[in-house]
Amino acid sequence: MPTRAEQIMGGFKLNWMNLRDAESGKILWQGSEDLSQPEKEHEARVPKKILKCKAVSREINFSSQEKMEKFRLEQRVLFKGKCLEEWYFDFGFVIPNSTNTWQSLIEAAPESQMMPANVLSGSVIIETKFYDDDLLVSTSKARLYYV
Amino acid sequence: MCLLIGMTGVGKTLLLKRLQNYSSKGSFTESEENPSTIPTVGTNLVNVSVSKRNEVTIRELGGAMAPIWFNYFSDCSALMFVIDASNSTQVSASCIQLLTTLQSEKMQKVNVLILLNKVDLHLSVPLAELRYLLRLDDLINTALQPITVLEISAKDGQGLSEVVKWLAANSKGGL
Repeated sequence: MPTRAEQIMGGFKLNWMNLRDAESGKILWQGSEDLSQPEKEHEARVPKKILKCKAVSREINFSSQEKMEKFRLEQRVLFKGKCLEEWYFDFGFVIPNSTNTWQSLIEAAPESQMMPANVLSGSVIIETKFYDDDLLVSTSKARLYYV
Repeated sequence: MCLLIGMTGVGKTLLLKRLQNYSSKGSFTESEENPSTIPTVGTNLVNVSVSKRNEVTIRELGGAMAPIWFNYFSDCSALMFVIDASNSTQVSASCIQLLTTLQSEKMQKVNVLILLNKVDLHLSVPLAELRYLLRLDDLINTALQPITVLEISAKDGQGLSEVVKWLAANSKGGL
């Protein structure tokens, strides 16, 4: 018998994702690799100028076969294993067999605390934990390169 | 949270994308291409900035999801209901869905915006007649909710700045 978390994960797919500069609406990065898959460490190459944005708008398109009562994400920005920032996002109820888009806003850390791109590049890992309410569904990691 | 609902194919997703683009560009006047859409089987969750310091979260529910719309009623404080003004055969279905929604116990305190969309098209039923068929005047007079009606075209941008104004005025803080 698969556990509930395995069941959810088995029916979950991240279809595409993009990052935009929230001020201009211009797309900075887009990808259709399923970054939610936990088996391996993913890689993403994002333009350096993303670090200059005051806010970044992220759109995620995902499908789920299973129902979720309260779908949410906890993300941690790890720099050489140390946590720099933590973000929480709530989506809420997920309809079984549905495809959804989820746009959320990520606000930048104050400029004085921002490290330069060449220092960050390759040393930053975004750890994403997928939850249905309190149930941890999966943990995935993506290493960021600023190009 | 503002809920965006309506029957299948009335133009909710296009409207949402337009509002989303508006938030970054600040206008609808630029001749932009129509963003492509596919029928929503699920929900779309989007933040729209309606003014400098005011952001509204809009949750669109697909028309196919109509039987379960009510699950989302409890955490919304504003409602946009879209009707396709050019599709006369769908008007009665829209009307029933609208009335059912407005009657829901959880929807008694929300501000309501009814959008007659696609007014850029040739309308087989004139707008005045459509309003009469939907009994909008009676509805506005008797419903407990404050109701605003706008004629818009998500395609050419007509009336959309009014929608943004409504969102700014009717979205209570912290949305």
